[in-house]
Amino acid sequence: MIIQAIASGHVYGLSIIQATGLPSGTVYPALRRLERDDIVRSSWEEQRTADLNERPPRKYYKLTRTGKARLAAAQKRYPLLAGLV
Amino acid sequence: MNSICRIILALAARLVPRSQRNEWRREWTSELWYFEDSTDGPLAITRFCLGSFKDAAWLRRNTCLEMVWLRSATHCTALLMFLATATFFIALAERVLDQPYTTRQFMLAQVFILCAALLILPAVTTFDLGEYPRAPHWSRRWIFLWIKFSLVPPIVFFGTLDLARILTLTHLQPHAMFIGYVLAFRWVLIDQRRRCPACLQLLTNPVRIGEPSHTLLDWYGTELICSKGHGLLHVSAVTTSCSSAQRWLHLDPSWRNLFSKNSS
Repeated sequence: MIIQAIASGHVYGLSIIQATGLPSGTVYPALRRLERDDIVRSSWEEQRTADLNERPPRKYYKLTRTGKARLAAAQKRYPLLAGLV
Repeated sequence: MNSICRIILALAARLVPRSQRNEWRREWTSELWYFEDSTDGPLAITRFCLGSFKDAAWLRRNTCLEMVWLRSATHCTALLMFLATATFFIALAERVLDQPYTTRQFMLAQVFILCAALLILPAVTTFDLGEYPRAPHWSRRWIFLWIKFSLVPPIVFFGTLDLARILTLTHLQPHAMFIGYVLAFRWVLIDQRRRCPACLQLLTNPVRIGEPSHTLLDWYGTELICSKGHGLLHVSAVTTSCSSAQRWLHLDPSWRNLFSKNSS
């Protein structure tokens, strides 16, 4: 569900929480685990961009090639997954 | 950021390994800033912050030695053998095996402590190792369990003797040994219950399933998965007549495409 949310464009923690309805204590550890398993990769937004908008920089998550393959396999097995997020 | 959130994040940050603490704090502070911006309820903000404890605990648990050295049965056995050998040689070097530690009385006292720890063990964990279908390599599980059970006592015995000598706290050695045995045997059983019966790897990705209200007609608890795709482990939160402490569900090969070939 979290991988599906990232693929749908919810690329930071809070956005994934709002999209999936899962609590923060579930989403952030799951993101760490996905990153450890090379399913997602994280990167910080440039400080300059955040400063221009007067807000703190965000940590963005992106699916890796393995993550995309996992998502495709999961969608094949669970066709309704895409509709959940 | 309000003061409660600041305190919660500061406390949770203490759980995070030092090397990752700054980045962890940076991410949570940033996310909290956006969360406060998007919601009005202080309760929702506090609830959001409390999630940081689970996140920090996850990082603590998964960054430590366990995940690298205890994940596979081979690594786990190698680590235990290394510890047993190291503590034994330290004991030799520190001359802790000289008199009075070789007397019959001392050895009987050690055996008594070991037996007392085994008697206490059912109070700290269950002996039930779960329901597993008879697999082709089922004997490997038992061999691995007995290897752990045989390597843990020398580690605790020599380890506590070494520590007592090094810290010059010899009068506390029997107490430390007793606590050490109880914790070590508890770990052996818990570790055994958290392993895949097919490949003996530690199970990963714990997910909470269901709610306490499901107890009557269904079950609730935690589900763990073998990273090689051998199966799922259902661990009931409450033991009932229809659900034992834990149950193994074997996954057939059609599930394998969900697991990467190089997963460890």
